[in-house]
Amino acid sequence: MTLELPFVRETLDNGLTVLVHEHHDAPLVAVNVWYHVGSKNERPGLTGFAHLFEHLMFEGSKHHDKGYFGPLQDAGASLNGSTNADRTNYWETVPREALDLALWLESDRMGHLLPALTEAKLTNQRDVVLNERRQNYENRPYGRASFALLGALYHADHPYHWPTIGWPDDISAASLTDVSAFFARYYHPANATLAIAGDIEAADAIDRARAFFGDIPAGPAVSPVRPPAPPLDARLRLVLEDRVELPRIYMAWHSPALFADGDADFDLLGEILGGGKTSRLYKRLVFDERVATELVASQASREAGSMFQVIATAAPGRHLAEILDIVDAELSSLAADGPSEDEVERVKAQAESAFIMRLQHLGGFGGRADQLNAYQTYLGDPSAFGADLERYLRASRASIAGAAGALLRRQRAELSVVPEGQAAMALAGSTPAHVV
Amino acid sequence: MPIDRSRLPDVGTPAAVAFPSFSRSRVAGGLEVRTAHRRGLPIASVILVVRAGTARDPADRHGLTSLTAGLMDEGAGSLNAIALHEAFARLGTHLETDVGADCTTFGFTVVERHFEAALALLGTIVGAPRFERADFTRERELRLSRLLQMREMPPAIADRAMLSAVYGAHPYGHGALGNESSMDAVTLDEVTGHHVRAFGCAGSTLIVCGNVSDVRVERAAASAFASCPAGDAPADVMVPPDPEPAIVVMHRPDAAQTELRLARLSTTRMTPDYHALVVLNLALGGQFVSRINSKLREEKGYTYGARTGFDLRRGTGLFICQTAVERDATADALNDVFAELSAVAGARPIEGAELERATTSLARGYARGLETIDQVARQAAQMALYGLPDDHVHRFVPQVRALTADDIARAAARWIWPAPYVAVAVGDADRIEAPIRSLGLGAVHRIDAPESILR
Repeated sequence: MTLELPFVRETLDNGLTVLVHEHHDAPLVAVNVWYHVGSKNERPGLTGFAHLFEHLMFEGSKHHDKGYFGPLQDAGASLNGSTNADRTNYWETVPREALDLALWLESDRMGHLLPALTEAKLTNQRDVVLNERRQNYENRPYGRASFALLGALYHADHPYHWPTIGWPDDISAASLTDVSAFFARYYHPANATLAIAGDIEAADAIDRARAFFGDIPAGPAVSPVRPPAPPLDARLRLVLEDRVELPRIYMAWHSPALFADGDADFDLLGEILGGGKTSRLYKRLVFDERVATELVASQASREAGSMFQVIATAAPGRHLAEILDIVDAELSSLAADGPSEDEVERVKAQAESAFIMRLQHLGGFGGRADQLNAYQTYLGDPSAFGADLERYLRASRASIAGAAGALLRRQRAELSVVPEGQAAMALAGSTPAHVV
Repeated sequence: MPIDRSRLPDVGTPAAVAFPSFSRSRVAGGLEVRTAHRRGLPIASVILVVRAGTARDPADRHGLTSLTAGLMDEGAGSLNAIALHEAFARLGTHLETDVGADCTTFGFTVVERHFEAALALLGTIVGAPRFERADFTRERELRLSRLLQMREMPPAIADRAMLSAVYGAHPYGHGALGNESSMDAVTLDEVTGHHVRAFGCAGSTLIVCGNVSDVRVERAAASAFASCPAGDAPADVMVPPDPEPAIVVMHRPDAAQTELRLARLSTTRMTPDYHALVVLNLALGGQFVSRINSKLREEKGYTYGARTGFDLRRGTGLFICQTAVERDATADALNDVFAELSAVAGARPIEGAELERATTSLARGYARGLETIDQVARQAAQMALYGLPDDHVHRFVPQVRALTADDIARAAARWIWPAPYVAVAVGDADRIEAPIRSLGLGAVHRIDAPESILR
């Protein structure tokens, strides 16, 4: 079976890329808009803007100056948005008879947001975001670890240095002027792509896209943000005290950027090391030696450079240094001998299944429409679904061994998150991490 | 022609919701099989519903059902734990086990050509788990570690304290993982015995939806579950007495945010009021634009989100409101929620345009929940567990549309307010207790060691 995601592409005069995917199984249509702006387009002192904007985009626009959830949820839609370092996406999955409603609203906030943006909305959503930050980071065990790791791997003016949610002082200080300038620069047709997927004819969908979005003025060209991420010149050992019961180790390396050579190999290496109970580290750390209780190994792929991580929580009474030794031993063994044929076959089977499963949903995060926009935004090529899977199927014992070897050669950050007052549980020689 | 931006576009009439009809058969040993062939992607979703839920935990062994379920795929038949997980991985899938109050489900979605092999593995897991001592010891330790970590997880503490305060010693009154003392005391023999009694095929249902024919499913099920023991059917759970109304403040020093729960007893999933409760909840707190989220998030900025829900079960379920709010807003948020609960059954009923919006939203959104074979299989699993009629899905939209403001008002008066409510606030008691007391909403109990709920 050939796996593909067929589409029709049209670029409007104002630069908006429109992608349409027909799929008539259910009476639904997915609308999905990507803006190629994320926290890496921010500057120090003005962090958290792309994410704050995601919130404001739901609060009303010039011709519908009230919440966006109301009319869409009344029409039976599900909707949401998300922000990461590289991009912001917004989507609605609607019954097909509500397609015009979704296009009307998406186009109104793309073309006419600022006239409806007020100090009152900004104040309210700043508070909501500060609460989101408390709920997801500050009041959650190990919640601030990612802040410390990004801070360690990227120097202070590299745009991956700060978290997408931003620093609280910056969020509190965000002014209407700053926020408006950010919108004008990044939220316009030439920096966006629109995908429409589902129970609609392609020609009809493109006509509608042109009708709703065609008269929005093109904005200023946005140049890509691809700052180099200099490798670490020495191993960094950090400790963070937190309200946790068990110490946890985070090992983090720079790794190949999203879709760059080696990106898929690191992804598969993550699976072989830490993907579920069949993984090497789970077997050794949790099954056999019972030195850890939880384990993650993953490649977090991003446009300007990725981060490979191994995360493990110590079992009661065990030490982070024991975990570290085992991880290094497994990396050495993988680098020297590569994974077994069976391991490679298993992770490839999992990858192939994952690609098939990704075709189940039209809309939402990771649905068909979202994938078309991702390939268009990152590769300029919405047809890349098959080629993306090919990257995984092409991997070999040697290429995965190469990824493990690269980790051994590179310097890394080692963050110990330990219970408050128990800094001695950290790896020897760790210095305190400073996070807000 | 330019778009008319003076008003939002009209939304047309929704298409009828499609739901496949499931054909039924039975395997020797008693397992019921319900299967629906759906063309499209070459995949199939499988859910096995076993009538072993946390309500079957013995009173002094909370967590036994979950531990048993968690050990069933740690080695079965000729395969040890690792070999079994590897076998699933080679088929490009993995088993998901979910332990609820009334049942445990085992499920996977698999590429169609591996359907028989994956189902055979599931049959072995259910019929012939190995329950080896080393696996038991490891799994028990992992659960104790998890309980230890939950001490610092405010949502987990709040959920458990809420269940305990509402249900007391009733079989629904504890979390799936149990607690430290029960996990310390549990033995391998207890697990083995519990498996035989609670995880049998009598009363269990296998749901298959996807690109496999009924004949293939029936043949594969007969082979996979041939040796599945019958086990004992679960007893009906008793109706719990109403709780004493109270506000429980659990001290988490210096917490910047307070985790809040408000709950009362409600009714069963089989209630004739079901559709009214769905509509009522949607308007009150079930989605973003609902009253409670609009108040606490969009108007006051106290929270990232607030939701309500009916957690309906085979026995008496719950109505719950949950949120996490900024510390200094705790008392005001609590007061706001109580005000909304009493208003919906009194001064500000759900009626007119608000009722129309809620019913329309549900009617139009219903198809979205049945887009994938996994969603269809889960819907079928619910229908099997609660004994819902085969035309449940087709009747849903007409029944929702037929509801009147009077129906909703009656449901609110019966199932929202008034009622003995229990509220739980996990936060900095030194800062939130006094403002909560000054609300004068009733008895306030302070607990200085929230982790005691996990012991």
